[in-house]
Amino acid sequence: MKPAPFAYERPSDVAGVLALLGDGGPQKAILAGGQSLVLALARRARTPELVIDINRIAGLDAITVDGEGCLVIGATARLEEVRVHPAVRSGWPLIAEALGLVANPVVRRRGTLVGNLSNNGPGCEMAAVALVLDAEFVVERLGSDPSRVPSAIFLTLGGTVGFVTAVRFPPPSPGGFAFVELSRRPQHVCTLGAAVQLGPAGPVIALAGFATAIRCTAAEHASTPEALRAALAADLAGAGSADTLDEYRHDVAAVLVGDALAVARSRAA
Amino acid sequence: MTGVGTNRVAIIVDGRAVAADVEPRTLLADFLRDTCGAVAVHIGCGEGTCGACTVALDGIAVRSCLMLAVQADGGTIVTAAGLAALDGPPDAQNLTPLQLAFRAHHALQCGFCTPGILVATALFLRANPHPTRAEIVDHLSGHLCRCTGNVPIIAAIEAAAGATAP
Repeated sequence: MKPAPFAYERPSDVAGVLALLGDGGPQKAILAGGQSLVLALARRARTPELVIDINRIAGLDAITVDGEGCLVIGATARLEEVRVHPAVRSGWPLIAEALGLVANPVVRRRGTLVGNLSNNGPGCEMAAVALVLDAEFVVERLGSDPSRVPSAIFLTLGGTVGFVTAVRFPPPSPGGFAFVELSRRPQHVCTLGAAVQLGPAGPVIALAGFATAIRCTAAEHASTPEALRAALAADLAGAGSADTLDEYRHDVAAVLVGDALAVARSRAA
Repeated sequence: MTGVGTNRVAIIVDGRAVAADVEPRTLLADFLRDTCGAVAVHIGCGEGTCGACTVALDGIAVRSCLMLAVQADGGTIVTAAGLAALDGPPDAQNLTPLQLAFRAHHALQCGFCTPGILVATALFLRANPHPTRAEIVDHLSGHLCRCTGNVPIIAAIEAAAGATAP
């Protein structure tokens, strides 16, 4: 498979990326891990005029806990580095658990979390995790200060808002957590995945597997299995995906969310 | 030639320096095979699923079909043809310990997927010299083999890990 022709630039700092990116648009593509983008190029699903390689920008791969206690993951931090990072495993274990279900070890060592979330394909597990943990995206554009875009907005934008230099997760919630998914085979894109984090105000729930991940606010207040099923039906009303599995997903959602809640509560005990 | 020009790519492939001007759209897998003559790089699915094109880039396993050749500029690549650099010295027949284990356990049949598995496994055993069976299975999830059913491959890797144990 051969990508369509494009020009290639490899800036050495963020300012260089912003200058090349300009107003963005589909003619510009940012190349981080490339595990989604290079395939899209090879299939000619994307045909940019310019590919901007950010892999050699020093410091962009940092995984840090900032002064406010937030976990900040840079644009070129690899999925596997995030998954095994001690701060992630102790403070944000839901991220580590879900990452274990993303792709295979070789692809995880190359692909990035910011790229995975910017691509946000159907069945993107981490999109559900970002919604549950209320992540925000640090977006830089030429001539303006960096902005922080909440997941609920970012994940609907298609990743064309500017240069996403990091994803930022608020300080940890000490409650139980779980990511439970159904997929056709291990480490394949999930048919449906349920992310649950217990917090002081009760469970926070999101589902991956639809066109984009969905926060399930009604289900968060359900107290019985019957109520959960009805609440999820409300949460998922109008949710569509790229294929014909929707009816099946609606049936399975209640099972997965129920399982994830049970696991999360067992871990909280 | 298109209007976007070419980029200079200088890499080391299995100990041999190669430099060439390539179009940015050239995939690393194609560059390795067509320009560098590294035909141990097998292109199976071309979309990152099968693992046959896996090579070591600066000591990390990568899918060469999911990288641009320009991205590897300045890097050092090891393919299955240079496996000794990752796996230890070969015997009189030029087979490394891992290759001998694969032969002893009939861990290949048609052999198409094998180069990628050998490179990835040599790196896997470097990072984790005494893997559990579950860890081996997880590692192999990035590699599809249509011939063996994977069981002999797992046995070969278990044997190779045992052979290199202290």
